[in-house]
Amino acid sequence: MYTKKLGSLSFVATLFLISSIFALEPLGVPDKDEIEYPDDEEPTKEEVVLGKTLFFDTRLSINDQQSCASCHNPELGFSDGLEFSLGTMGEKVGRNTPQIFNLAWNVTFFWDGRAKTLEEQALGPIEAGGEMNMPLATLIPKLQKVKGYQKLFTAAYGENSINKENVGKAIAAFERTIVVDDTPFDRYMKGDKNALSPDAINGLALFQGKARCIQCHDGANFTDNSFHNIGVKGDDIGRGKFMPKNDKSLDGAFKTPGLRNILYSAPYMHDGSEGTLEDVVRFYNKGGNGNPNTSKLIVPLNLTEKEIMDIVAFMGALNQPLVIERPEIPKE
Amino acid sequence: MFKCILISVLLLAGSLTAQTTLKGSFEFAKKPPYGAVVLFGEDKSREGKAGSTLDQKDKMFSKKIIVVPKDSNISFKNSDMIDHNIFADDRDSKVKFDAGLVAPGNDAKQASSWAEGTIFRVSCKIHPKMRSYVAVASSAYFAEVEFDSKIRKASFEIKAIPDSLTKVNIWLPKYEKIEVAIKKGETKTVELKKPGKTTIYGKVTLTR
Ligand code: HEC
Ligand code: HEC
Ligand SMILES: [Cu+2]
Repeated sequence: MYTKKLGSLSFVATLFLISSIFALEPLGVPDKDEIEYPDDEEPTKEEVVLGKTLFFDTRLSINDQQSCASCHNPELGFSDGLEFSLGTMGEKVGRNTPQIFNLAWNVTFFWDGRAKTLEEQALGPIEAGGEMNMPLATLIPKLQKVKGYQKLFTAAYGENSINKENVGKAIAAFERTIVVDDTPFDRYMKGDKNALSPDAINGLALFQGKARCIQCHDGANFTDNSFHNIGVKGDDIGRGKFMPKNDKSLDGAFKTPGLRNILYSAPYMHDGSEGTLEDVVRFYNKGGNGNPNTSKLIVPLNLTEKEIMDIVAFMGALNQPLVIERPEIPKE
Repeated sequence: MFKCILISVLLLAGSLTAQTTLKGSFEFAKKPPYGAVVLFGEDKSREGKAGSTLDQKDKMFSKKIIVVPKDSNISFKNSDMIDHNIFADDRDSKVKFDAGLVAPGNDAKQASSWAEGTIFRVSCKIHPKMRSYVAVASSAYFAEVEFDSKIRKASFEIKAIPDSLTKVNIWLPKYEKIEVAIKKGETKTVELKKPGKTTIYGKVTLTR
């Protein structure tokens, strides 16, 4: 009886490994046809221009001190180089600022996946007490008074269209244009075998093999859009907050971040606890930091020094410097 | 004796002419949505009858869209090797539930007390990429049509439709619902639109 049970258990375990390999999406070049636009319609140029203007405008914060770009700074990989960003009133934000590349393909937003769309996400930081601290009920009349915005909104959405819904829509439309799809890795995948160094090519093999990174960082954007506890220490339960009360399986789990342009957005992890990509690989190599609820997918990797550096070289080949020209912010 | 034969001839003729097949095809101008349900909504014969099962495997639902009768249930089966936690929180239909964590090999049932015609999205809390739509319809005459994001066309068929049913309903998540009267021998084409929009996203051609 007992042996029989054990037998079937190990059978299940073998199947588990196979199926988790089957379910992985191959790495590759992102396909713009796969983007799900709201209403299946690409945004207009006018919408994107409006969204970009809002993204860079400090009017979105209560004291005119902070724009989205203060924390998601294009020159710092759409992040801010800090472990924890500071809100517009100077207080520390509870989590590290993530980069926002290729979110057009994502289906879940924030480290804990609490927003389902970019439209919904965009309104979050504006109102958040610790961030821009700006009630939408104050922001909308403030924007309505600005002649420049009357013009921009009219061009994008028609007359008298300055409302909260359109603010979210426009910012999301701009964010969907922040696309990284021409990195050395992409050129390599398209057949240019010289686009990657031999070290990076070895890193790619390790990423998909011995180092098991692809178990979670799969698909063209290097994310499974799922949540895992990878063993970062701390008492933030992340995704666990959204699960039924009796279910602790996702305590300490956070969204798998995409890795395109990841080189630019140090420090890493939801708490900014890893300073460099090398630190990140060393963290995985020892099997995490021993957080009690760590995923079974995280195990010590026994990578050699050379292998660690090759994986770092591979992640370095996922970059494409984007030049984002600053928009003209309406003066009045 | 003669009478008896006459009746059976009539019955035979009746059963030959009283049933038809509906054939149809969708065609979209751009990338198609997830799926559609086509049904003869006048029939409600499955109300309160056997429920439907939506399976999960390889981090995917077995169907992109599924019909469930009213006052019945939908079972979320887990044929995967990993846990899933199916939930709905649909802004348009206001359907909200959490089926809880379901281990491999198990299932979770949800009573379908939603109104006829409700369509809502279900997803997984662990794998937000997983997505399917549930349509509440009690008709025995329906087709669940799945679209491939790369192919702009899809066809379907509903068989053995009694002549007494004359109206076809076409439901797509987030689209305007369509009702078309169609008789035997007719072919009709209707346009697909969304509420409050003038854009024509595609069309459906129906032949009965
Ligand atoms: C004070 C710094 C700060 C400001 C200002 C700010 N953000 Fe963020 N942003 C963050 C932090 C921190 C997170 C992660 C929070 C979390 O997950 O709980 C985040 C998350 C995001 C995400 C989700 C990324 C992902 O991978 O899921 C997007 C998109 C985003 N911000 C866009 C914006 C937009 C648009 C604005 C302006 C309206 C903005 N942010 C303003 C700090 C900031
Ligand atoms: C079990 C799933 C899983 C595996 C395996 C995995 N990762 Fe991650 N990765 C994640 C999650 C989840 C996070 C965010 C965790 C957090 O902040 O607590 C993350 C974070 C990262 C980050 C930081 C990104 C940022 O924006 O801060 C990098 C870089 C990274 N992983 C690279 C790798 C590499 C390289 C490997 C293989 C050696 C790997 N990952 C293996 C799930 C995984
Ligand atoms: Cu799941």
